[in-house]
Amino acid sequence: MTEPGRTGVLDGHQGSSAPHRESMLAIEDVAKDYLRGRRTLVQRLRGAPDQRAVVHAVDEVSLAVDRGEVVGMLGPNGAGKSTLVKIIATLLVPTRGSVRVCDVDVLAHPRQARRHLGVMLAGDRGVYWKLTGRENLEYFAALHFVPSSQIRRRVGEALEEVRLTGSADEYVERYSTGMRQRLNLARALIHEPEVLLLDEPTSGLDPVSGAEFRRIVRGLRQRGAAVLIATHDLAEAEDLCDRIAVLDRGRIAFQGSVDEAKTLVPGSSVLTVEVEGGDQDTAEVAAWLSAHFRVGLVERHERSVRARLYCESTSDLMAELPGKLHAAGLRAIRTEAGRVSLTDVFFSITDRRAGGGHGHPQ
Amino acid sequence: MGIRSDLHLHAWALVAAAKREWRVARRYPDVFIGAVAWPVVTPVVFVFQARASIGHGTPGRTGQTIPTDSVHLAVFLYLGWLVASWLALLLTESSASLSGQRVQGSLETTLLSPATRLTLLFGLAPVLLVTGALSYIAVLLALVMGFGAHIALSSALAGGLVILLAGPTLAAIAAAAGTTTLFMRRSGGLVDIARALSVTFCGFTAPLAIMPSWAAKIGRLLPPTWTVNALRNTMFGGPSKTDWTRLSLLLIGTFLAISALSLAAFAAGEQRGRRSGTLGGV
Ligand SMILES: Nc1ncnc2c1ncn2[C@@H]1O[C@H](COP(=O)(O)OP(=O)(O)OP(=O)(O)O)[C@@H](O)[C@H]1O
Ligand SMILES: [Mg+2]
Repeated sequence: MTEPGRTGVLDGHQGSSAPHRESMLAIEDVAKDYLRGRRTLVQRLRGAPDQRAVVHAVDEVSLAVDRGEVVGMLGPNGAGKSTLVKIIATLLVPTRGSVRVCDVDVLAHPRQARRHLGVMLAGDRGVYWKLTGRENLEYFAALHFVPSSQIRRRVGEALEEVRLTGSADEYVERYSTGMRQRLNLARALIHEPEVLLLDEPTSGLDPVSGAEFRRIVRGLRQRGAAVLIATHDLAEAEDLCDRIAVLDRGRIAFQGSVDEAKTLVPGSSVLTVEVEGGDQDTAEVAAWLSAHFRVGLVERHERSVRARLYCESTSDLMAELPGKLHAAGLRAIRTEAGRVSLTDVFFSITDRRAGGGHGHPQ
Repeated sequence: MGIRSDLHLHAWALVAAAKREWRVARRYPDVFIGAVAWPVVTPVVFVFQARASIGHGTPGRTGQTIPTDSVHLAVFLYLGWLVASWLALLLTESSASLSGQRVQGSLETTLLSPATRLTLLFGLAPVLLVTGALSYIAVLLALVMGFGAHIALSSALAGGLVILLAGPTLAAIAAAAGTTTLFMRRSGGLVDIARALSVTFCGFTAPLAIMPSWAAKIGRLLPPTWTVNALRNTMFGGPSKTDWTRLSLLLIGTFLAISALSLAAFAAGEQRGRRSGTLGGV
């Protein structure tokens, strides 16, 4: 997964990580506070105390993406991923911190920074529904200063790249969600930017289009672009990213290679078991599992509990499991050996920080 | 680096924005149909009403008093309604375009680009100029064919020139209204107020001379008033009745001033949205 020669440093969120390699994107100590709630005109005029709560959407985040590097940004809903993307994209002004894109200070020279940035915001919004796909791209190409003599060619290439050539002259309002999302990707790529910010780029894509998307991103990496992807698709992140950053409640909880991330999981292998406990309450079964094994994600079904158990050797665990379960009046109805995945990483990082209910003994 | 050396790139972006709005308008030509129907149909009842009520008014062959002659009365009112409906259309369409882009999310993606925000403010301007021209032609035809007005070709052409000169200024007013609407997050209220004020002060249905002097003073400061006055002067007295240099300078000057103000207002609104995170909101 990790490219040779790349030494992803486990530097967590302790700042000044901007390495002296060729950072195309360097974020340092960025924070964004939102005000939640309302302050009416009447309150303002009266000079009533401001009762809006401050939300730390992004908190002291430092992150760098190098030339030819793909970094995945993971984290639960509301962790601050989109906020960070918008800060880099010049759509949001951070409360503190600095952002540089291709050595341009984004805060001081947003207009200049936008020339280097290709941005795909979350969802399928952002294109003109009453125009065709081609007309949309022609418009955005001009907005991004693609020379007029090259617009036709670039639009053609971009459409081909996202496999929309056949629907290029259809109105976007007749596109499906995934088609609109692919058009959005083409829009972000139209001016061949050096830095790409993709916010949940595959959320609406079918598996084939998802694979196409990964092919495109690999092409971008080869071309030397720096790519930052916010995603909930952990398999995709594992497959695609040179490095990941896990954001949790606005802070970077982990930053490094996927392999390094996996060391955070207490075990090198995973045994997924589905356990049935007869008359026992599934909550009790889950609690018993948590107490006796190193567990990751636990799902309670109607009559059974499915859990990911971490271990060093699945065969050893499989050997001891039936006896242990039997003693507790439980029975494994399904077991499946597997390897630690980013799902486990995600779970162990975000759950531990939340002090959550499925804690594993360490 | 700076905006000056990239001037041609910004200009192309502006052309692309105009092309985009033009394509939408061509696909939904109701804006053009409205531009023809509205100023032709609306004034009819006002013309008849005025005819019935005026009786012996001030005899007038100039643009500044209510003419008693029924053909002249029709010309007078039709020109007023021409500017009124054009302005109304400009204001609503500009606000609708910007608010629509915000809802659609394309405002946010447009703001991601390095191109000048004039693309958002003036993308619609060519469409609006065409609607103005169409309205003008429709009104002339209605006056000639419906009311038997005799309009000299030179007057008709000079009137067209007034439309052409006033277009950018009125489009700038519309852009200012659209910007305010956009960042105040209201869709209709402000535009309705602007429309109401223009009907009150700009002498569309009655000459400034019969208005209270304070209202007339305000009216004289407003570009739509200059436009309608120039049109009436030209139609009633011929092209020579208008001081073209003065009119052009006034209109171009206000066009530049209002454009600069709108751009500054847009920048301020954008900056505020970048702080509060509300640029992409619905
Ligand atoms: N304009 C805003 N005003 C106030 N709070 C906001 C605003 N936008 C986002 N937030 C808050 O900031 C926090 C981070 O939101 P953000 O959209 O960045 O999360 P995210 O990581 O992208 O989540 P998701 O995975 O659901 O997309 C959330 O608590 C959210 O409620
Ligand atoms: Mg998000």
